[in-house]
Amino acid sequence: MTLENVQVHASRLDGGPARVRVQRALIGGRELRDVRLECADFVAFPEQRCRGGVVSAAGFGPWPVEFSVRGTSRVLQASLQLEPAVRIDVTGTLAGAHPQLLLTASRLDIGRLFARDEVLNSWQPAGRVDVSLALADFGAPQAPSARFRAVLSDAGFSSADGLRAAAALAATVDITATRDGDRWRGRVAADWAGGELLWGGVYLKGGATALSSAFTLSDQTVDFSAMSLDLAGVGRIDGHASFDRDAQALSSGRFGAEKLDLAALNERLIAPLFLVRGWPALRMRGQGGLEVAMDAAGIRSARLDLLDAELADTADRLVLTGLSARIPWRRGEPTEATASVSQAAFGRLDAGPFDIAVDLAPERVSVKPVRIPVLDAGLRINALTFRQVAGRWDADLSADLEPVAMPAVTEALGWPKMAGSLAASVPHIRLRDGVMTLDGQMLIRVFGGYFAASALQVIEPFSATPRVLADVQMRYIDLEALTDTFSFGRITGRLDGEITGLEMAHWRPVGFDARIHSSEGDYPREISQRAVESITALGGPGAAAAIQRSFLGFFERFGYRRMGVSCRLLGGVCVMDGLAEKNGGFVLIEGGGVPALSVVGYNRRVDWQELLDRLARVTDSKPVIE
Amino acid sequence: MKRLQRIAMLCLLIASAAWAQSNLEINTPAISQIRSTMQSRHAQLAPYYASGAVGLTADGGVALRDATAVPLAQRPAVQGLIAQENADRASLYREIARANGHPEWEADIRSTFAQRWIERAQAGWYIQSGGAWNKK
Repeated sequence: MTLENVQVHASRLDGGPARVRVQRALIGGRELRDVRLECADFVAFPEQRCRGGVVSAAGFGPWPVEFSVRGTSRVLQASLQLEPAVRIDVTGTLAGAHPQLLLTASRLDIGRLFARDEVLNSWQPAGRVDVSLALADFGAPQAPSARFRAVLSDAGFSSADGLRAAAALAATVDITATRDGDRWRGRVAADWAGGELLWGGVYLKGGATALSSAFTLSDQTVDFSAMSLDLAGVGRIDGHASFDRDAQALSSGRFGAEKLDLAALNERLIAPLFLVRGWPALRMRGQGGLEVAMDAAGIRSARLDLLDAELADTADRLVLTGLSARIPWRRGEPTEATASVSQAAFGRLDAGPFDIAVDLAPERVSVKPVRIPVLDAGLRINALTFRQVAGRWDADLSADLEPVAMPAVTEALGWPKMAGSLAASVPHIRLRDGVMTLDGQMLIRVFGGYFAASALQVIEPFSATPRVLADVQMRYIDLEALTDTFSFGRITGRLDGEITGLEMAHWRPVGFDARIHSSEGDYPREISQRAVESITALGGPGAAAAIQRSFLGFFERFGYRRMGVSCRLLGGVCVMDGLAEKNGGFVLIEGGGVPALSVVGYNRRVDWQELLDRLARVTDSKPVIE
Repeated sequence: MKRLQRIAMLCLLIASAAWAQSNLEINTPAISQIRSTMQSRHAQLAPYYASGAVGLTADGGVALRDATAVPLAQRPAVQGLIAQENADRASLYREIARANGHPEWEADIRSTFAQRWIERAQAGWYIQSGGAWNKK
């Protein structure tokens, strides 16, 4: 401390008014001009004491002040009233081998504290803070030390847009530091006891959240070591970090966590981030680990580990259980992520276990070929690649479903039991600009024949309103297997069909032009009495079997030559036609052999929903197309 | 000109339907589905339009105007509503363009809609123009 040009005016040394004026003072490297102290009652001996004082300097004060310094160890007691509500009390021992000084200020108004700082004030700081600062061994040959404590209560702040804000904060910050040569070493601890915080979409409630770290402060750097952040219920994150004081930026750092509770992490951090983006929430359980290395350019590498985790959408349509994964990432370098899943459930279909490996590169993610066991067969992903193009993700997929027993599939799905097996082949599906397109055909083998879908497009497959467009061909479908399944009544024979311009919204057909007819070729053609009744019932009132009821009752089975029906669905109405015109109606089944039977329909316009309802009634079970 | 008239007419019908819940049929399933989710979301958004927390943007979307009008804990949920609403509005414009066989109309449809939403906004709601918010 240097004082220049000091003037003291005092009428007496044992009481009465006194005035001290310092033209220039240098205190700790900081310059003050025109420092004045006026005491109404000043005593110089045997103790120095000022009552009813006022202190000021150029740009500071005037502030009421009182102080006394007593005895050989120079015991200081002082108070400085910065504002009506801001009083700093100072006590200490100035002389001796271990000088000490304690500054305390209670219930300071945070808003007023930062009122002069334009940047901080724009964050609308508010609340109260109790502050204490203890200095020891200053100016002594020992290493000086300091202890700072701030206790925040009912504190808060808010950015101008209100998206980064806090309210009712209760927190304690403790900093202890000791001078060591040209640097300070110490510890910092913060305990967030309560209140709420909103930052970048993450909303957190305080309580049991604590940060502690050792630090070294030099002219150029601040190094934090043995950092530890305890997040209530989630786990602990450890790490270390170095900051460049000139650049005011992180120069290096490493953070890691083991055994994070994924359910708590999801609830407190991940789900809120999904929520603000309007994404559907996920359900998580299990344990996770995280390792992040940073340098001046940001995250250099990271690794996420999952251990026996469970991951599901909230509707439980897709559930992964027993998920263990190791997902490394390095800036500018490709890495390989691996995962094992003990069970995957797609709706009611269970799959797994399987192991999967994924190549991660900047703007490219590719899944290595994998076979996922599904029931008694397997789904083979031959190639699955995602590429980031102009901010959007494109994808390419090639996959095959090995023949899987239909009884097992239908049982798993809770559908009527079907015979035969199901197999599918997807040569190439690409996702471009929100539209999923199938190159070539997708072939589904079922009921002894096949369905082939071509020109298949799914528009916005991941939106709330996916639309499907396709042309479908069916060939040589075994009617016996199909009709047995739906307790429709038995029909023996084979079916071909073309469904062009199929459009589905929300996975329900809204438009198509379909023609289904018996296949060409030589095979047994028979239809049971029950099936005739079912077909007649489908026609609704007005449809009729072109035979007499009494005659129908005579036989269990009839022969037929051809059958065929067409339906053009548009605007919820199916416009029907058959094989040929007959008596103002259309022939659905043309008789042949003995006994022969023909079925003629007369109702050309049928409400589609009504047709589905009738089909549901005659089959005693929900039709699959619903 | 004829094309613009058609777009404007279409937008008028749908904008009316989405807010006034009248029974107009815009006959594609995708559009009616988007419309019905927007209708049910509107009940959640309406108080925020009224309080000035959320306003209508000039490009046919919605935006957070004043988060401080919403309690801290509810702000992320409001942000989520806004994100979903904007995603639905984008799909609506795209679907209308597609349903009419003119995907390239999307931008025109969006701007026509923007005007319709603003015309139909209740007095006291906030509307953005040229980056500034004005009370209707």
